[in-house]
Amino acid sequence: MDISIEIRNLSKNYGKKKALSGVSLSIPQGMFGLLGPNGAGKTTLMKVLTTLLKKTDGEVEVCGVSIENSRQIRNMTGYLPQDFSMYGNMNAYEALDYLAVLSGMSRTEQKIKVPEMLEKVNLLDKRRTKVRSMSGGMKRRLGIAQAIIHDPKVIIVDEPTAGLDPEERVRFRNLLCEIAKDRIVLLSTHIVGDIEATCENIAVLNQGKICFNGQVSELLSLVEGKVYSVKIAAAELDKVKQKYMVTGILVTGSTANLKIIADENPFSQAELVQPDVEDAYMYLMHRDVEKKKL
Amino acid sequence: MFGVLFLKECRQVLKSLIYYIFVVVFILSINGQIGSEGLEHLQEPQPGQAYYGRTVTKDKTMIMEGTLANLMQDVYRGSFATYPLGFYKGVKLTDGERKQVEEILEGCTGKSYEMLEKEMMQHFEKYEQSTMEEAMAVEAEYKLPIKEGFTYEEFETAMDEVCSIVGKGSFYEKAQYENRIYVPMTYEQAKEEFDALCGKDQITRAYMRLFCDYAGIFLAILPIFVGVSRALRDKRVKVQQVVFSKPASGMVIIGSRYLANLVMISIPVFAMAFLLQYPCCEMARSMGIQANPLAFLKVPCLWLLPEIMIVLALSFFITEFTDSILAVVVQTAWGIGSLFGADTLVGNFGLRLVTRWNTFGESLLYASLEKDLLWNKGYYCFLAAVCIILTVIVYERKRKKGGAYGKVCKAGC
Repeated sequence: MDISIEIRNLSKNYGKKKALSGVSLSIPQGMFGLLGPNGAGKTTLMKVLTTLLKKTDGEVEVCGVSIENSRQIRNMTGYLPQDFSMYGNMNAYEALDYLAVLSGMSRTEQKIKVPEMLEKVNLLDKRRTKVRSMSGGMKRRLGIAQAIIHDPKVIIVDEPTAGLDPEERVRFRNLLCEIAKDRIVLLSTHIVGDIEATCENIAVLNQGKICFNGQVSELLSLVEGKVYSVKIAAAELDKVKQKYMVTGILVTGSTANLKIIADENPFSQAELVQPDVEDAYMYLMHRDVEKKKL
Repeated sequence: MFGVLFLKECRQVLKSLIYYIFVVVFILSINGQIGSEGLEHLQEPQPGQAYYGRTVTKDKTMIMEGTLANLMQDVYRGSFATYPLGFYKGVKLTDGERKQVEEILEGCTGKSYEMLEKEMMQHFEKYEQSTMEEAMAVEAEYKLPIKEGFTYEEFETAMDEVCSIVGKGSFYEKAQYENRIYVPMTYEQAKEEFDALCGKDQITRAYMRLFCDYAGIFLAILPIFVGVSRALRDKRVKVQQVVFSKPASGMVIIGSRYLANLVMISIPVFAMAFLLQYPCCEMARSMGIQANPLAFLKVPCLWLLPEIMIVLALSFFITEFTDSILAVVVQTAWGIGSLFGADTLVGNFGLRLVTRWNTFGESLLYASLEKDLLWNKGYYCFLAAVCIILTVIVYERKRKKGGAYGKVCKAGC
């Protein structure tokens, strides 16, 4: 089976508001990151892909199946929504068991798969814990277990690490990488660190449009030779911020260490440094605004 | 998938606080209402007794006089209770319409309306009416004599005219007035009634009808809360998106939830019926009569199940459609309207939600009205099925529109 998602000229309007406008993407097998600020249209795109929203225009195919065939699409996708929750009076086992039934699994399959999935997401010893007593991280792990229980070819996870502590976040990212071996995991987030640590291929969505689509290395190449580190007097900070795109500030006493993105060396004492994804993302988000400013 | 999901939904109901509140309120309400009324006084009528009870008359003169007395009171009060499609609707006549009905009364009695009004006032002032029973007795005694030579056919035509003025579902429809006028029973009638009670009804069925009368009142309202609570639960605990994204069809999801709630609501109802039937079986045995041990299943299945079905189905539909607790307000009003709008406590089923049979016995009357009851219950079963299909349609539409049917509808329409 062809494991890919093809999106061509996808548009989604809410009344007169355009949430997605002419989005075209080709998502291959493995982890794929969808990055963008809040309100960029990421959740709308996720919902269209999971058949929870109807597209206004364009074409979407998941593993060769048109998005119009909602039943088939639901069979081959697993979805972890941004605010995943389950009935509070169910324990982890019951919740997963219930969602396994909704996924069309037989009783025999449930009996094998439910403990297996709980073990995979490290919740087997917490199977009797009520959902209402679970931490945010446990709930997300339960969420990913329900998304993969019917062995879907595509897993769509929307802002899965928001609100998690650093340890939970790392554990969750590793879990996503593990399950992405033989399927597509589409990870939508506004947290650049999540993408940097897990995805090779990414797309950046802003105001309903794709403003970057490619590999992380290609994104980084956009700011290659443009990221500088400079020490300035803390008193000059405001002036510099107005003039340049500043992506990092560390103030120590009367001195401020800045990370600046600029086409040319802004200060004689500035040093060229290796860019990271956050720099590239900030550059992408603000380059038009900065150009106008300059 | 359906069976497994159904069992899981039953389990969910068992974990719901609302359900336990329903069970407790239902049991307490029934216990507070029903006793062994009629059972301890059950004995074969003997010749020469002073009173044998009352029965619906088939005497045409009595039907005409009783119906006209009712019409006179309705005209005097200026309002008519009607039940088009089973829903209570109070009808107030315009001056012109009222004049027309007054003329019909004058045509049937041969007296002017002013005279009829004066006689009615004199009748009601003549008696003490300090208790409800006295007031009911005075009302039952009030009759409006017809004019000489007035035929039943003319009366039927006159009542048809009244119906065309008042609208559908009034007391003045033939099926209504021919089964609503009561007279004292004779020994022969009482004996026939007793034989029917012990024979066809095997005592237990008659007692279960009385149980269904009381239970039906509470079941017109209590299941609303269970239904609304289930229908709102996904939204309240934010599981809508996850459930929507699963391959299970709306029919399976809604169907299993509905059936699970229906079964769980029915369990305490049948359990109560079973417990209350026990002394009745004992009584039958002491009288040497073979009781019907399955009456606790058969009678509530006919009387109460369709009522629970429609109340639950409508609460599912309204809640799914509006994502609010509107069903509680609308359906409580319907239930109360149906209960208090009833102009008799025995029979006159029409399309009322709450079908009353507040008596132990009247087996012959029941036999004559059974067909009406079947129509009523069949109608509500059909309506319940329609409501559930509509709920599935709304659910599927919400599923494709991000779970916000109301908002999408407003934007789209």
